[in-house]
Amino acid sequence: MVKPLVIGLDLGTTLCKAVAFEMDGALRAQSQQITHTFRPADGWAEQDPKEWIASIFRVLADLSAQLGEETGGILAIGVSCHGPSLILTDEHFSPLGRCPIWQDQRATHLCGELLEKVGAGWVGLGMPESSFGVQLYWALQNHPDRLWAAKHIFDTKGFLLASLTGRAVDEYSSSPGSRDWNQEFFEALGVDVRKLPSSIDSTSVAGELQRDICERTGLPRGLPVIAGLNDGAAAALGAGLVQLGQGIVSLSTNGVMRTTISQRLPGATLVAKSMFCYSYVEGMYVTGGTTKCGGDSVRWFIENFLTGYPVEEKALFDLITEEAAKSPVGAKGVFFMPYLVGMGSPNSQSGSRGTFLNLGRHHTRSDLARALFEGVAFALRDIAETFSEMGLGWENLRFTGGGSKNPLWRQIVSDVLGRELCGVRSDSALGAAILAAVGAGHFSSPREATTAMVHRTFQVSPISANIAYYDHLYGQFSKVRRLLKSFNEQPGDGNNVV
Amino acid sequence: MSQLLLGIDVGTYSSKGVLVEPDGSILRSHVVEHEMAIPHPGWAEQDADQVWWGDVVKLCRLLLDGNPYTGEDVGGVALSAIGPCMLPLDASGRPLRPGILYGVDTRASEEISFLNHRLGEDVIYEFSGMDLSSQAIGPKILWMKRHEPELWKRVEHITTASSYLIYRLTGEKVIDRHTASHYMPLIDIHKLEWSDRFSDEIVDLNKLPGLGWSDEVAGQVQPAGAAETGLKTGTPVAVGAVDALSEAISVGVVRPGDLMIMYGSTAFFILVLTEPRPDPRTWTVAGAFRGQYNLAAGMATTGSLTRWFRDEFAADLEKESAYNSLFAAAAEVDPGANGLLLLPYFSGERTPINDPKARGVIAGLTLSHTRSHVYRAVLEGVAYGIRHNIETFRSIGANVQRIVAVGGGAKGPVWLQIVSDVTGLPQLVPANTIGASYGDAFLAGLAAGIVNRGDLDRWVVPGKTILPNERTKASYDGYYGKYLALYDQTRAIVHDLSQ
Repeated sequence: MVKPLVIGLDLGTTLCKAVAFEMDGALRAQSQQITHTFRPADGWAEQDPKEWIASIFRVLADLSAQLGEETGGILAIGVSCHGPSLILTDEHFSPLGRCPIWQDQRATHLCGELLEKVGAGWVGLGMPESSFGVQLYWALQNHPDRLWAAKHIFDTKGFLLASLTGRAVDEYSSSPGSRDWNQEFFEALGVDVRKLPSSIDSTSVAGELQRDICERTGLPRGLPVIAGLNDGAAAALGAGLVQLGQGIVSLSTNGVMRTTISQRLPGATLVAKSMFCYSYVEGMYVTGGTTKCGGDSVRWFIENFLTGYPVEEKALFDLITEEAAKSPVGAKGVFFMPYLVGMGSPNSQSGSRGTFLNLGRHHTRSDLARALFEGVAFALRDIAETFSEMGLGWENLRFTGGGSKNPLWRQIVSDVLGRELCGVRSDSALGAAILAAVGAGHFSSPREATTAMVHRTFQVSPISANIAYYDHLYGQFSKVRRLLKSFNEQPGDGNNVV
Repeated sequence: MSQLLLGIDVGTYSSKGVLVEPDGSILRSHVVEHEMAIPHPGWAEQDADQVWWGDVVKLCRLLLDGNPYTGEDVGGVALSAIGPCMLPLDASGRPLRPGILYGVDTRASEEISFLNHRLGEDVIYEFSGMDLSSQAIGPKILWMKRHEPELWKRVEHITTASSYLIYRLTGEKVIDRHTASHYMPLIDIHKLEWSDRFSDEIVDLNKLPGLGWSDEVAGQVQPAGAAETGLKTGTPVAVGAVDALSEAISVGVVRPGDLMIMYGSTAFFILVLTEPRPDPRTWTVAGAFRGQYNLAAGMATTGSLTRWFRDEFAADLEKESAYNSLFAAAAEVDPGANGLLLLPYFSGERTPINDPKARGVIAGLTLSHTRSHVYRAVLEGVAYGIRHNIETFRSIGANVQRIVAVGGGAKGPVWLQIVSDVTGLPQLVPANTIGASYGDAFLAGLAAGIVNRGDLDRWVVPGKTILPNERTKASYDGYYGKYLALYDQTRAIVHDLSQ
């Protein structure tokens, strides 16, 4: 008899992945394809939905070939994907062109106007200024003809589920961000809400995998496709985030901090703090923010100031850790304001820039390297402090992402946040697979599924002497941040340097 | 015939000696390297016997090795050194501790505050022609008195590097008035004599060296000095000068309105004047010659910053060619370094902001900035600092008529062009930049009566002139404003962080 398996399908920003897991979370097989991002103008970021589908077919076919006879044991496919993005299609779900993705900055200036016009009820997934609502508003102003010509308006998840099952359906955690699309928003803009897919719960069956896809990929007929979560939420579930008030820090290209809450936060609050909020599992919501800095700052520093050449992903953290470890807690007074691509939550400001401060000749590259690790950790604490101010818990912290694999950075984050951190082997594909397992009825709930499928890899506790010192340094960091923020807010100067 | 002139300059990282004919032609020259010790952030020290005197002995032995010249051929000697330094000697003339270096050593900030509070900032300034800064020797003497009381009891003489070297050669304790001008608040800048007005708080004036002008004879080489160096006993030794002043003389900066910018490990400025123009942002000091004053100014980093950058962030480049690669890459970056701005105050800053607690800031960073951008920002940051000093001179009515650029940093065309573009001023780069030791040789000739002041025009060979690009200047005007604003707006927080 073949073993039961579940497939997690994850369309990430740079990688499309299909992974088969056994029911204890063991990885059985995987396949991946690189996804291209087009940058036709400064600040624009687009992807081609047709390429998504082609990539998905390829990874599923490859996975199926690897599994051979074992494909018979597959119970379901769960779907995770990046968002928000705006995809317009014809009646056959064929996309009308490339689509802007979450990194696209072309419409950020419209956010304020949109808020004034229709309020903040629509804010959900992603940073408000680059969300689905703003993307739609931009399309309405710039290409209304395309919008009217489209038979369907999708976000990433809706488009993928439609392509896989032939049914126009979406799930709560993706662009609706809530049980239903915000009716007033679409009415105010004059967009027919019937062009948008209806939404279902993350563990629900969106439909069966279309017959022609089964034939092309070699997957069994009638395979249920489970709606899943957005990729950030899927990664959180893959890390075992199932309690109310539990937090998770994810540190890869960016740092992201999330926590679970029982009720959706008001849109105005989300806008004010540049936070996201969307529906999660077991009736909970997830809220959180993005630092806009993390592994990308590390790569930048290493390639420009340590090696002078591009570095492979694997060697990246080793190089900087070797340097940073030579510098003591507090980096001998060097401060790094990690805003190389602008300030993230909760003080979002795209015009901000990175700054090294308090530099002396006695400092070495080791001190700058450590300051960089600490600066990113302080940016995470900014989000944690915001949670606390809002009365939100962030207990029993999980820590994931490439940055969590680095023992030094892990300790710094633990010390700066003053909390114990628990690491897990996790990614969005595992989260999607967990939902597939629940959707297929193998487990009764996400909580039960995570107990079986999620495994701890490390535990790190804060060093008490460091907590106090970092509290002090964080106070100074906040002061510097406020100062730099006020520079950038000075009127009449469009080319601020700090 | 003993007609050759020997000049030796002891600098921050190396010492150089030259043997020169009375017509200015150079017969031989040698350089020896040494280190600067930073035992604590903000401190800078050197060992007087090992480094200063050791270098002088080495250079004399190298230059006068009998192939073909010996001490018998030397008609006059002059020395210059980093300064003002604070070197305490015991009753037998031995150094009690390593020499505390000039303004790069910022340890005495508490003593500066104490003296300002005790004596009154305005009073000190009126009397000294300068505010107390990290360059001032009075506070450093006081620092030793407070922090090393046991050693202090044994102090019989206070010297600086050049006066210690004169002492080792001749047994005389003499200091030039230019260097002595920094012994604030122990010297009256209007009379250019030691004064007991504030000395009770600090030191007995009898422990200070005698005062002289740079071209006067300090004494003759004594047998002890002769034995070590190979110089002939009885050779006249000039009072000499601080390194920067000798450098200015070496490139002909001796007439009113002449400004020398010295690009060394720090940047130093000497503007020749005929009357004192005291201003708290710069240093009014005696000139080399009777009847002259200098307006001097100095930054705390320049070459030391490019050196730091190379050592820390260009480990992948071959050490010998690293500077060339960095300068070439920086030249490819547009003026303004694509929005980067750097405050070069990595060791605090001397003039015009006189802020030992200032620190370096690199602002405006994005993922698109590379090492080349940051290196260009280093060069531009220093250039803004230079402009800040020149604008300060002008604001106090000191006329700058001609700029002569000298020093290691002046060798590369990239940095000089950036400075000319940022300031909008042409800079003359002499063809033969031998350095301070060449000016020392000229002072040796004056003291020994072998040359006249007018001979200097034949010693100095004119070179090329760097002209500012007016269009680039216009764009730099905007960045310069932001440079000033960045310091103003980060000053308080940086002071706070440094505590």
